[in-house]
Amino acid sequence: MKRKNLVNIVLLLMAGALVAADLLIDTPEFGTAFTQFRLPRVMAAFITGICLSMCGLALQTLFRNPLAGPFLTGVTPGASFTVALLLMAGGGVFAGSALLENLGLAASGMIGGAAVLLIQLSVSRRHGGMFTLLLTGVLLGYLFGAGVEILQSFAGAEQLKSYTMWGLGSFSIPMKQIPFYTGIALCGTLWIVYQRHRLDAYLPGDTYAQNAGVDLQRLRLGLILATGLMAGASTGFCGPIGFVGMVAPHLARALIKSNSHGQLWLTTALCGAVLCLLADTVAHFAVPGIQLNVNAVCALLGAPMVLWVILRSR
Amino acid sequence: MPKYRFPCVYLQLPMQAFRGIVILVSLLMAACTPSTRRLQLPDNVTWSRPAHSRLFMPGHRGQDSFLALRHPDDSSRWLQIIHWGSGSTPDGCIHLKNRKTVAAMSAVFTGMMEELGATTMLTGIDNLRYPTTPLTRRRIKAGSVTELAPTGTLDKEKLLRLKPDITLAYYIDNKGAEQWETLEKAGLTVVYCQNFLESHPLGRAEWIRAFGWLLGRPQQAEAVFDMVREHYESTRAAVASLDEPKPAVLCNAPYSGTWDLPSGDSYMARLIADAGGAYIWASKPGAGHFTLGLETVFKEAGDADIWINPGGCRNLDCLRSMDKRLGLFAPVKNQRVYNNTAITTGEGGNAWWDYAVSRPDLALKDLARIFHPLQFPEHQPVFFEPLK
Repeated sequence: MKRKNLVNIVLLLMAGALVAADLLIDTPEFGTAFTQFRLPRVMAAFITGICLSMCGLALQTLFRNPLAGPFLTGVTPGASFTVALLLMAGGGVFAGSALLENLGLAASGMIGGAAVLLIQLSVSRRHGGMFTLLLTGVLLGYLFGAGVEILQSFAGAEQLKSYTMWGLGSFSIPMKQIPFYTGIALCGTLWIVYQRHRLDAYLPGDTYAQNAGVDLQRLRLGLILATGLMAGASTGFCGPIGFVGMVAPHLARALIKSNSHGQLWLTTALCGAVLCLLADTVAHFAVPGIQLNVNAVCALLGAPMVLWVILRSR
Repeated sequence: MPKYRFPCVYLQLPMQAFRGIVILVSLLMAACTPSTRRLQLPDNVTWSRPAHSRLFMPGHRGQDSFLALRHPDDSSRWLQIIHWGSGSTPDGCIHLKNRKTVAAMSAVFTGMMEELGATTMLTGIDNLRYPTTPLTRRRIKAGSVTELAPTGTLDKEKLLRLKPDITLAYYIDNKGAEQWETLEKAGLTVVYCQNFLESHPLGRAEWIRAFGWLLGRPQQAEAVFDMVREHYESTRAAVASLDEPKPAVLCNAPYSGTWDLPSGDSYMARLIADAGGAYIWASKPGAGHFTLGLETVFKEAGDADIWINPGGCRNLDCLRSMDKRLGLFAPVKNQRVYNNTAITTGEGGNAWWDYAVSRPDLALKDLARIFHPLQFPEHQPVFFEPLK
């Protein structure tokens, strides 16, 4: 059996085992508690893992940079800022309409994420390089972080608490948001899969890509829209979840020893799903009676992996 | 794998210079460590231990008065000892030169000042939006009170220009304490009122005696507190003698799927127990709070009888809009949800956070009425309103 098929099967089994564990630990009754609380949470963890990992893969290709990911490139801080605008200053602007509420969160995240990507793209085209990308991402992170802090100065106590708790990250979203979230993840992922050959041609450089017949403008715009949508939706629904976007593609490359997007996409998506499911399981069940912060657990799992990537790349 | 080399090689320093720098930096750090000399209670002072509070203690020595404030992190240490009178000020004590003007860093303090009839002393407050008590609001409207921290950050220059005789402050962490130390060095008399750390409702209310001492109104303070304590204890006794089941009580609201809940020995848990309710997590140890997921709370409290303090919501639609799944909780279905939002200013001020601290007897009666409506039909709730 080919290595990549074996790896994908193992990852699929791991994801399945984590889904089962997350669903069944602590013997839930298969009633309302299961269908309205446990099941949507596990599904959201799975979908978020796929969204963020595919974003990371697309961003690492777009910027031709192994450290690109939704957090370090500033996409998540940008999405967080626009979501904060909605949560703290927008108030009940979409109250009464479930569709608008869902769209509002995802759209606000997408606008912020896409805006940051456009800035990053124009900077990287003038001054390419890993250092420039990271510096711009960090600076944009500071800029939007400052914007959020100013918003917090004027927010009321309830809005402040609402934003703070959202910022800790949580996969606990209502079931009614799952179909919408799934749709976004599916559209973004399918688009990236559809562009896999063009992405392979894009990776070596602009000249190579153009010679291979790739419309660079269209490809970049499409990538920005797809990643902005997925990163924005996952940030809007679940809060800013770190590390998964950057780590999952590297894990996938290390496992199947390939840079081909046609082979990478499924492994990347499964790696992301496994990471998020693992973080969710640990956050809920590692310490009996206490729920840990999902973002903190992602960082505990992801940071050593990021260090490994950096050391390995030297 | 490259061979590990001692850091001085990378800095191209001789080993001796490197050692010298390390020793010098260590000495500097040791010298900069603040002194931890312990404050001692002055001699020959007659102290009177409060009945419920564990964080302050008034005393007197002849005509001179003292107020000792215990360190919140270490009950064997004293945070401050304040001296008022013409006698010599013992070592380490803070001498209160004057008590005509007061800056208060919390609406809790202005609430107690109003109970003591000392509102005219108020010249500064952290945020003008938060006090709800009428005389304080009138004074704010008249422009007699300076706002010192409208966005949460203290404007130190404004406070120094105001020069209040007493600044009633509190701190949550060391960073907060450090900012007050610099103001003390600049000449302000800062009194740390850590009453929010008292877990007993009467313990928090008893701080009115400390304020009474500080502001020169000890008799008023004793009278107010005696009245509050008597009413509180009589309600508690009346509830304890009831022969009916205690309702299961759920508290607070979730944010992004996470629910912050008071622990079993906390202020809120104590109020619920004294009002004849059965708080679902009464056995959780600690006087602070803990966190559970929405799913766990639904499993353990989905069938609760009563839900109180659900965040900022004033109606059930608001609750459902926070998360549709909250509509699955029994109290929402049975319309037995109550919030402490009956008296609000519309600008963020809520009487639960200032007036209720000085009047826990009213808060207790409100809750007793909610938990046992047939037993206290004559009482009109002051702080709580039902969510419809």
